[in-house]
Amino acid sequence: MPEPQDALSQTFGALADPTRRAILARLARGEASVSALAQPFEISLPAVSRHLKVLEQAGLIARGREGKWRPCRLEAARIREVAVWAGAYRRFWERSLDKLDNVLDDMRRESDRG
Amino acid sequence: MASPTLSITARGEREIVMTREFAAPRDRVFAAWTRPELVERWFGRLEGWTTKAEIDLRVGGRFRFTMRDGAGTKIVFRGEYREIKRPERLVTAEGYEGFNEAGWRPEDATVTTTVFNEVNGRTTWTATQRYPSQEVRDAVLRDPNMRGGMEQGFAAFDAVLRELK
Repeated sequence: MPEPQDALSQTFGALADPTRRAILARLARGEASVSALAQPFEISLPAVSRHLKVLEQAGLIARGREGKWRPCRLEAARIREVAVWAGAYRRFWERSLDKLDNVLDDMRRESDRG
Repeated sequence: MASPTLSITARGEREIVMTREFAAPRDRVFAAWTRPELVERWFGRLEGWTTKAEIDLRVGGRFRFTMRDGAGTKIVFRGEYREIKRPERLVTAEGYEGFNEAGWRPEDATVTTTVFNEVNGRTTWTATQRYPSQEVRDAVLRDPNMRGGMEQGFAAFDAVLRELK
């Protein structure tokens, strides 16, 4: 059995491949079938399916259940979570700690009063 | 007055070290860090976001910070306390819940050592975060000078996000 991969590494690993990012960019415009997704790339349907499986396991896309058509769509909520988490790191801490300055000021005023 | 500078640097393959100064003694900074009603006033309080904090400040006790924006995005940051030396040091194992639906796995955790050092009534906060892999650490920093080549990947990812708007 393969080593369990941590979930964050799995998500970022899925995003590290240019074909998979192109698939996500396509799906950002709306859901699509596997063959429609394969069309712009010079790769086989099975190869596209493998990419889709990686994206699905990373929680970045979901597959429909309707027979052969099985459309793929973005899991927008997960992608936003990834973006907030990874993209906003410095901003997150700067804004949080600036707010903490205010909390500390309030605590000082309270202690001066008491 | 401008805010004190937040320094964020990479150390080794898997660590990020953050430091910043606060104009307060460390017992107060420690309280703001560990009392839920105070944490809720600053942690993750970006514009439009609110935070609910639950804290069981004991070794092995859990904490859980639930952040929400007006559009329904929810982010849960949670972990457990591994060391507590009031008011100077905390070691926590922590992570974001959305990335680990199956439940808590220690190997997914970021281990953060937080040190509060007081000099002349001011406190320097140092947080050393040890990430589960270099890939994750580099993704967090997204610094073009960092190894790992994630920057280009995220430029494309940003384009996807713009489509989602």
